[in-house]
Amino acid sequence: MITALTRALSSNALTTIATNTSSQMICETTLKAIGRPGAILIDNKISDDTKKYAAAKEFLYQATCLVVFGLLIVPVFKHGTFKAAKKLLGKTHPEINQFKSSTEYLDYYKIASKKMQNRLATLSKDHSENKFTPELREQLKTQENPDKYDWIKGAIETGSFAGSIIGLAILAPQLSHATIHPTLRFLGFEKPKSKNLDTQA
Amino acid sequence: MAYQDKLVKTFDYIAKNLNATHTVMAIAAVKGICRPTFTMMDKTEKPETKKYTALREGITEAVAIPVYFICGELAGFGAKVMKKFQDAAAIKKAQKAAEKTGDVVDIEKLKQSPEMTRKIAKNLRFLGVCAAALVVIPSICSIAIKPIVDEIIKPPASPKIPPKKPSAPLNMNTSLAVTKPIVRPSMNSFIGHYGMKAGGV
Repeated sequence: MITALTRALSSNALTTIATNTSSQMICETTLKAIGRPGAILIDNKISDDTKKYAAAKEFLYQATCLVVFGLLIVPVFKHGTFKAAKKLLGKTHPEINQFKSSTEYLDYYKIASKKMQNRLATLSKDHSENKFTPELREQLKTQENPDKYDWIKGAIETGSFAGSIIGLAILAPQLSHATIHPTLRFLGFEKPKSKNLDTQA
Repeated sequence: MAYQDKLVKTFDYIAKNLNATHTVMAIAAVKGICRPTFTMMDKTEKPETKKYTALREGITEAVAIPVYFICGELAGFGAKVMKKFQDAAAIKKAQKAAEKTGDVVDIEKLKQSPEMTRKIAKNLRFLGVCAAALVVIPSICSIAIKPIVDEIIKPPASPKIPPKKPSAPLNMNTSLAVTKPIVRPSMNSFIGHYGMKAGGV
């Protein structure tokens, strides 16, 4: 029992999500989009109409956050930070030049974190034949603990972290303010110029 | 040390130490400042409503920060508890096997590595944050936020509907004037609007 639980909690899939700021935020916002409207809908103190209205508003706010996240944080901040780091630190730390993009580096990081046996099985797949430079492939195939270049991961995470704050705390509230009321009116949840409950943050 | 080396060291530290708790707490802190500020800047709302909404948003985030921290850290602490059980189970299993074969059991080798414990703690922190976002924070907000806000500031008064005047008895001598029926705006307008109607109308 405890062994199975330990194995599940140390699985590579969970680790990949838990150590990636973008994945963390997408999971957290999706859960908020379920949990917060759900909590409003099971609240017995407010009327049915208000419940439905507030739950729809909360759901739309979290959906706006997800859209902002998908359009801004991943393409701009995640990939942008990698490119900026390559430009700024590429001369003094040439290891970053071995990777074409942040996606390629993150793939390398994921494979390098695996045990030797699993790593070789992943590398032997046909589609990963031309994935990395020959030096990196050699390193992955021969070394028990290949260098993961943690600082590159740190640079990408710093970009995602900054992007998450800007996107979710500054841009999403502004965007939701402009779009939520027209959407609610369009869906028939709100009469023009009505004042209603506010969303939870 | 050149600034590049300092940057690389900082990124390296971030990669090794940043976890889900830090990210969500930072976002909640910035949200707690920005959302009430944006609400107060809104010129279309009444000052009373603005104050009430801003306070509600601010308190929601103020509650979210410690809840995220507690849930994350408690879940992370679970990794240490799990390690104890995991070690005990592994040692017991090895000792049973050794009794049959007569081999000597190396207890230190059977114990979970510190790296594995850290990995599990990081993953558990992420799950703790997810639980906070899905259940704990929405529940606390539903139960506690409204009474707290109402205690600090008076909720904005809802528009009063004037009481209905008793209709005058019908005078049969006067001519009947054709008048339009009075339609009051209702919040029930969305009831029964779920899904698409036939033909998508």
